[in-house]
Amino acid sequence: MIGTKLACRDRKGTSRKGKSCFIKSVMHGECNGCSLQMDEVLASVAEKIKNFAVIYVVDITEVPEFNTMYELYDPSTVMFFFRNKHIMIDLGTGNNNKINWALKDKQDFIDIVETVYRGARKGRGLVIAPKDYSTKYRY
Amino acid sequence: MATLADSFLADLDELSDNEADVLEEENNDVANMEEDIDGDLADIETLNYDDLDSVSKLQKSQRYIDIMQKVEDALEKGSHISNQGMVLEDDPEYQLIVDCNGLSVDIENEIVIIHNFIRDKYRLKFPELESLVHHPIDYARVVKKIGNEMDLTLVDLEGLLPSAIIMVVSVTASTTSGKPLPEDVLQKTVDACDRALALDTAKKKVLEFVESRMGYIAPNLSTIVGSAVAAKLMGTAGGLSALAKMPACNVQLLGAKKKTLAGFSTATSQFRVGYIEQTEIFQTTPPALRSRACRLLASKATLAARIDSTRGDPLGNAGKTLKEEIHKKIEKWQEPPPAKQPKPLPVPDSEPKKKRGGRRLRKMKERYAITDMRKLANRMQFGVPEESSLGDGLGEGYGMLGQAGSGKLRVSIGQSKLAAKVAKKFKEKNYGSSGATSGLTSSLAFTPVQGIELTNPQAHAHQLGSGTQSTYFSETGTFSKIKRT
Repeated sequence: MIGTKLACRDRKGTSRKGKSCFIKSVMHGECNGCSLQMDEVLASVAEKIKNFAVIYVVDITEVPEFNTMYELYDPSTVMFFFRNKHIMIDLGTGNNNKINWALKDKQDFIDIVETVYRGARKGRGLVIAPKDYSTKYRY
Repeated sequence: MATLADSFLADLDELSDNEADVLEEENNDVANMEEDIDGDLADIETLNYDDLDSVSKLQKSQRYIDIMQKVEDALEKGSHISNQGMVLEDDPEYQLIVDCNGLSVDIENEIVIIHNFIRDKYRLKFPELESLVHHPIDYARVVKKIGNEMDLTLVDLEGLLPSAIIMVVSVTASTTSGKPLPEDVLQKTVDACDRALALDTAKKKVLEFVESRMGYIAPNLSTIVGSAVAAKLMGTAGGLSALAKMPACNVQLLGAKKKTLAGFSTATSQFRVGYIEQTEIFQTTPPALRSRACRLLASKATLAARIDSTRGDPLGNAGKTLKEEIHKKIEKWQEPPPAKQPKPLPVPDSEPKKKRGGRRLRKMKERYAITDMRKLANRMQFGVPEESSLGDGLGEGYGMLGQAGSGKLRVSIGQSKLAAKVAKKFKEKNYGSSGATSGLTSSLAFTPVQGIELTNPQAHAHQLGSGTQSTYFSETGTFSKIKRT
């Protein structure tokens, strides 16, 4: 099922931009409410954080090459990259590599992005998210 | 007054005849003085005058009569397009208009003088009226209507004043401290009122005439503000060149009325605007923009007046362009503001934090500053093993804290700089007793001169100069000036 695409680009190519940029890929499996909600949050936030982050939406059914590498099996996944390096976030859920669920709050998301940006600029590979999501995410 | 002169003469009569020469001289001097006194008295008398004509001479003056006659003729003749080729100053009509302007200013002054006259006379009857009704012509009308009447309910002031003022006037009249005037004074007052009203109608005629000629005299100015307002402005200013010399802020206020308060608050009083208020442009602007529009109008009108006074543009084109400009500007003010663009967030850590400084920050930092104890504990002597809390290298190390042969574990904290300053000030001001004073001491001092003094003057003397106390090593002493000899 082809999901909506906000932008679709090859991830490798984009790190050559002048500004330091984030590459986030929201991968859609099925077009259901979960991914749509995440899409909406990302779309509304994109303008605000455009000075330090860029959002890319990739459909995993169309680009399946990275599915095994990043274990992309959920309806919506957000991963953070800085200058071609994957940045891990400690969200309290146990999985530090990505955000598997639909984050509802825009400001929360902006905070996470900012934390990742600050940490990544300093050279950290792992940053600690400002909010704990261990209880929020119900599988 | 006459009695003063009489008293002088009486003094002279007492003098003997031997001093006849001196007397004569003195007589002359006195005569001169008398004249002077009479002259002064005459001036004073004009204030306590009884005769209106000694005050208000304008109506009888030849100049007034001439000009009024010419104006009447010209008004009857109607407007005519005069010869454009002729230089403006040679045109007899222009001269007449210049005279009219001067005359209208004179009439205005005259009205003020007459108003003062009426007011002084009517003060005996109704003193509060002058503060309630400011406008001279309205005052004259009201005085004429009321006359000598004590009961104001019998007098109908409808149409002369706004109803609120009528009410206030009636109420004040019922409690007034005035008495009815004698018949002759009343007659004089009514005459003066009539004269004031006559002058007012004359002024109106003059203005009407000037207005009809306005398009010819000052085309640019009349394009912008309209001929009626232009005529009024010119009349109040006293001529086109006078108007041109005024700064725009003054032009804005020409003809501004003082508001009668009558107990109402000034919080809602409008901004200062004069004849400009009556222009069409002003009336068609929305109320929120009116003060800005007034200023704009006044400035452009002044420009137009300056162009007209030098006859720079007889056809009035400059006036048209200025008017277009004014319209465009007012349009622009009424445009809605541009839509608000949502601003993206700035890059994090790109803008350095604005650090503050100052005493407050320093004091705050002092609370978390590294103390001397901690500094010593952080350092170690070379080759000397440090002691630790749990012994044997376990626990926290004490560094140089107990070492260096001092034998003391405690290190004094040491006073911070700020604390030192505060302590010094404290000492200087002698706050608090040192504990040695008894409970019966007070700061009152009993001096022989003043009796009881609140501060003890002895205390101050002590500070400065007992010979035993040297200020050189004093902790509270300050710099003293040492002059080079």
